[in-house]
Amino acid sequence: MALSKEAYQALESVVGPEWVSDDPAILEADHVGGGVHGGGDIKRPACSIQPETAEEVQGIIKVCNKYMIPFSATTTNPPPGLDREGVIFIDLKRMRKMVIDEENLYATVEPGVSFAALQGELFKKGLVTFVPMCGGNVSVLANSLNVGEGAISYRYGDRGYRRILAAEWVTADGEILRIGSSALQDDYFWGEGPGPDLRGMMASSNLESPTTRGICTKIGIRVFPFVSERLEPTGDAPVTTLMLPQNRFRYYNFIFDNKEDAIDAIYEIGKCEIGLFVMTVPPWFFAMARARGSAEVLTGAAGFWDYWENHEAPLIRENPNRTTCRALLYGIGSDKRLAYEEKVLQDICAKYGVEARASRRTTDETHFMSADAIVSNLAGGRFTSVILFESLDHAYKCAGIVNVNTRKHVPPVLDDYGTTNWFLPFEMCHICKLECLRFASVEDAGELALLMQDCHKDFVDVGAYPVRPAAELYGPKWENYPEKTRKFKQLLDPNNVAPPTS
Amino acid sequence: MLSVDEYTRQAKMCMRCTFCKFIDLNWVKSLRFSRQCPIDTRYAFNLFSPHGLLHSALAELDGTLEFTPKLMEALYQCTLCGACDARCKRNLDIEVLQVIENLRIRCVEQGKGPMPEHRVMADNIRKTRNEYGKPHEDRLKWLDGIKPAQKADIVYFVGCNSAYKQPELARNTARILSHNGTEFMLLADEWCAGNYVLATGQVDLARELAEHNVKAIQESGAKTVITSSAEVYKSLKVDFPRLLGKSTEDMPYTPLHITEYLNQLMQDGKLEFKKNVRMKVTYHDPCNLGRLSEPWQEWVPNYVRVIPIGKVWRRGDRGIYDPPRNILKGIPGIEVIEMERSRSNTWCAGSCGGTELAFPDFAMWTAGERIEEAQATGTDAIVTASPDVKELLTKAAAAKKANMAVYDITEIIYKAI
Repeated sequence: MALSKEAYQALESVVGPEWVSDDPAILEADHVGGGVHGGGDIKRPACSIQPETAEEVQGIIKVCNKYMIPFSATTTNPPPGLDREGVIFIDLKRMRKMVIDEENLYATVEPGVSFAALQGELFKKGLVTFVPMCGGNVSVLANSLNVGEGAISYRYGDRGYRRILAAEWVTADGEILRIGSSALQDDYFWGEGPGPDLRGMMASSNLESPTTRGICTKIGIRVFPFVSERLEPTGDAPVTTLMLPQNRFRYYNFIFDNKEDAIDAIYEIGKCEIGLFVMTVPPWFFAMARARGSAEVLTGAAGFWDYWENHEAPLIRENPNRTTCRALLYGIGSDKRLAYEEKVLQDICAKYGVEARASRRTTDETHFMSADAIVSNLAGGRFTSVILFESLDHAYKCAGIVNVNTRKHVPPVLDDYGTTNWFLPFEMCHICKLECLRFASVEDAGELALLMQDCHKDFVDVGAYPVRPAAELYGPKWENYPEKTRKFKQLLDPNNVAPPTS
Repeated sequence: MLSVDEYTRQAKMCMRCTFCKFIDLNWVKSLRFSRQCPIDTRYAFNLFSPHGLLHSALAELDGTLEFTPKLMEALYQCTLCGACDARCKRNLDIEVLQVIENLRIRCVEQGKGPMPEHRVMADNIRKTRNEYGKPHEDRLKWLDGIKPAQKADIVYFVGCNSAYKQPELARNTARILSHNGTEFMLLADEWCAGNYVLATGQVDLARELAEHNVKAIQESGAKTVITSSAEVYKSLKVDFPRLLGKSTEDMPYTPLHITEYLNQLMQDGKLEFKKNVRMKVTYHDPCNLGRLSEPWQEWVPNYVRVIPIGKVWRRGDRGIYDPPRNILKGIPGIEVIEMERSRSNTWCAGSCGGTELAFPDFAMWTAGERIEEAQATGTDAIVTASPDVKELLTKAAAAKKANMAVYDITEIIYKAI
């Protein structure tokens, strides 16, 4: 559906003719988000526009309201709401300003700033942020509004939206709202007040797109003190890594013969407040590590499957309950702290008759920059990632549900013998992310979707944390939240131009 | 060139994760220099990005998108620098660059491409065997008294730029070789190597050039071909075998960039730089010498499930990165400081892929970005190993009024011998 000439000219006057387009080639490339091709009923937008300031975003939204045109906004992730006709696609990646206040431990970022860029700048100042597991290339602002957790959220706190301080928000009816300290001055150091704290209205907590009631254009986020030693990058892609200062970091691996002991031990590690992170290590991680090499034939998908079938699968069949755990111990403040953490970990493991072995590994490519986040695709074909957040116990229960349902779909879904569940606790084990990767070929991607559906049906019964794609299913168990968010939306988006709630 | 099935398969594997737009994430040190795709950084619309072009390839294939002027603008402004390809192959192993190259070939096949300036270049080459349309008989004018051997084991493949536009670079190369006692000969009839011809999708002419030059090399009897042009080097090592349906190792010659050759002499203790060249420099990796120069291996698609059987990947990590650096570090008085984006993370200077011919303003912007990055190192000069890149960076430095000298590495080496 084409825009009227008048509306198009109004948009041109907001951003300038160079940054708005209704060319079919531009629109074709903009109508696909992340994920597999051909998924969902995605339509080409009516035009694509690239604002550079909050005022330009405001101008665009006012045009949308004036001409009753729906909009959809994104930076890098799938654009929500493109199943509607005639959408104005607002791409925020030109908004790339960033300021770090190292004394007051916060950074102010616009939507186009990636985690990797923020982290790179923070390292220079002896600071750190937690980069989400989906990759350091994603937008700090968008991801923080949504979920925004990374492995080191274990130590520094979970859920991106909880580290948001002040924010600048262009509401769906075109008002610029500044929340927290930015309401008083151009400073994003504080989130609460004056007036009611509206950050919850803006963030989504993964329940829906954060753009359903407007577009957030700037946030202050907390950053954290870090070691003064540099994490030096080495290598040429595909084998690049960060060297960890050995006086401050040490990996430990510990293997349990049964999953229950592993979960209990992880809880204890959390209670003792040691480690930069602790997690279980699904066997496919090891196969993936073998897949990443330089130019040899047996790398990539070939390397993955060779290792999986010839090394991991036989081990799993021998004892499917064997559970490998890994912790990165962290001498925050001093070398002595690292020594203390090592002693505590040894004591905990000894209680379970398990030896905690210091790893020779001195590098990281996953937890500080998340440079290999998308590597799970290297196995070829497709995977589905069943992600849930709850307590460790609850995640364990849900993993059982995933495993039972997976059996119904094997084949064509890969038989992983119930081992690809990845438990990644946050906030010293008060919360746990459960991610279950299930692989199938490109042709069998549909079977993975059916597996997801089956899992969600059963998750509802155990009160699992709701996730966006199954909002209607989870809603009744969770105070009918989809209904409430729809009401908020009606209030803040009277012309219904922003994307739908779920 | 990719079969339609393989082209589709590769394009479909793209998840639009956007890793292709950034340098390797472990190497990101700043917001300013974190991005890597020139068209994406300049234009921001998703069409102007690797994943946008991959999706366009699928849309064009299924008939939902034609080669509109805007698509061609994105397609031909892409410098084919291969940054996206190297990044993608860190985690996904998609042949991003080959899909974009094939999209250009389809554009030409349908009579829409290449851009008018590329057609002029091709016409020039057909008529005069060089891309500038200068008289073929002037190709050896650069010699200016230098006398190559009539017969030698080594051929020096000069390339159009050094032969016609920057003859001092050709003379430097010849004198450097002679200084080390290396006997070299020239081809009896060197034609344009055709790097930009293939890059712009004009496969038939590119194949004709490859066939002629390979035949000329064979007839020379030489087994080693040395060049100081990154673009020629990539043609010799990657494009010629690819166009002739062979692997690099099956070619009747061994291609060497001058930096590889001299580095080997240094390692063998046969070359030592004695003169002091007091300079603080940064080195710019030309894409054609770095991530694009890995040996070509012919592969007929053969999959078991999702596993490509017998495929040897070109992921950008085996490019010629160390030899030029070793040489610079071996010259007394030279201090080398790396830019944030170096080696396989290098930012394209803008001269690759025929982009500069059709979109000179965009190429200048790209080169200008590189000049700013070089300035951020605090060095006095930027050294590169490609006549085309040197020429463009020199223009960009002048346009920016930057206090930054630009050198081809042969100029520095020549100062040191």
